[in-house]
Amino acid sequence: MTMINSRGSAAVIDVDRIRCAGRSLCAVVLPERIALDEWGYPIIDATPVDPDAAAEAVRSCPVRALRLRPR
Amino acid sequence: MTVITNAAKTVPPIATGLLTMLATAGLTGRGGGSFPTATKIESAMGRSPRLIINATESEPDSAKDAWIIRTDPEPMLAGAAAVASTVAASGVWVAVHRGSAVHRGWHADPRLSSSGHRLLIMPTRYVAGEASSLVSRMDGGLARPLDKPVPLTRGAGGHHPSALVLNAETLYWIGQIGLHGVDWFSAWGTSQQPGPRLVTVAAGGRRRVLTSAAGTPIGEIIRQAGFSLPESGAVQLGGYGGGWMKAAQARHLPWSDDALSPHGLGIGSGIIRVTDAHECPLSLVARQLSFLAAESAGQCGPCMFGLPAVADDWRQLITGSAPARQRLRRRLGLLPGRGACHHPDGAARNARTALAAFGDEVDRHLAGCCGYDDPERVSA
Repeated sequence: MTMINSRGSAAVIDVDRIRCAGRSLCAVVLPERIALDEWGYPIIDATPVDPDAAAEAVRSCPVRALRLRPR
Repeated sequence: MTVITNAAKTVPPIATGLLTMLATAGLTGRGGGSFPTATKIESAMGRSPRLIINATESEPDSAKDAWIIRTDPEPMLAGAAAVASTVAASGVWVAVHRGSAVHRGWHADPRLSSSGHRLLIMPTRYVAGEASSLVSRMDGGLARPLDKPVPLTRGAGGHHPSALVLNAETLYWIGQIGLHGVDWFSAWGTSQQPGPRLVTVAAGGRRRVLTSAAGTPIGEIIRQAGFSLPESGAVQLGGYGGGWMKAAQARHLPWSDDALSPHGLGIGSGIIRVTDAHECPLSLVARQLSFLAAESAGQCGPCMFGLPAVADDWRQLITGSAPARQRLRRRLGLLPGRGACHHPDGAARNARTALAAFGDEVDRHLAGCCGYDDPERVSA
């Protein structure tokens, strides 16, 4: 379900598949949108999500593989 | 040459001419992606792109691009000249695999060497023919796909100057449309997929290239190529990254994305492979999945780990392991769209359509039999 915060539109999480190293922190921070495959790589639900939660997931990535797309 | 200094929306007459011509003709990419060519060229306007003719033709069964370059290159070169002029390209390169027939023959053929185009020599690896691999290599990186949050014409994900990559055959038809006109082009094919197409038909270790069009029955294309389609045989459409269908189902089916997509298949890069009547198709799929796994660029986890796992599951399945089928189905669902390029998507399509087409053969293998007199017969 989309949550809209006071700043406006929701965001969609996108991943740079090459930069991603399967460190899996993103799934811990945002389990409602990010699951992990058997090797620790993200399976992303591209449904828009609260931009604050999305931003926190993006910050959590140690190799900066996550980014936000405007909806 | 007119240089467009910003993303201006006004377009000089020659550019308007080519873009309108190609949009009206309905030409789409012939390298497997089927993207509308006019749209792709337009996205490069105003960016002085590098124009790269993709003549790598990495699919092992494909021969159409080599045919163009070695037999009838002039329309391709004319098409490249028209595109280069339209987009004010900073230069034109021809991407080839090192040591290929196209590479070795280039400088010896005055029709080709007189073009002045530089060769972009790629390693002989499957994914080294992917469009962003060409750009990566050209810009000093490895011959591996790039992350592409924006198209190559807009710089991909890094600091890459704009690149317009077009398949050799796409440029060939641009040249032919220039010679014969839009009406000639769209008289071929279907309304959804207009125009003539080169097809590589591969059978019995041989490959033949012919001109055909979308909508032609698959069995008819094979017959025109001079091969037979045995009733007990099967076809693979679109190369190792394409998919499988039994002969009985394929014979009268139109060769078009409309007719094929309900079966999870498509025209792709114009390859039709006919299986050998004596060869177990499951062992052929096993070899192809192993090949695809070995050819992963090793950059993206789902591909790097997923493709070898799927290849292993397949081998276990055909040596009698029923649990392997469940693992395989689950893993196949997690390949499409989870790499930086479409290599894992192709491997998944290969295995998924093989499971659908060869259900009887899979059941026999699970019961410990095969039924084909294939010397590489799998056993537990």
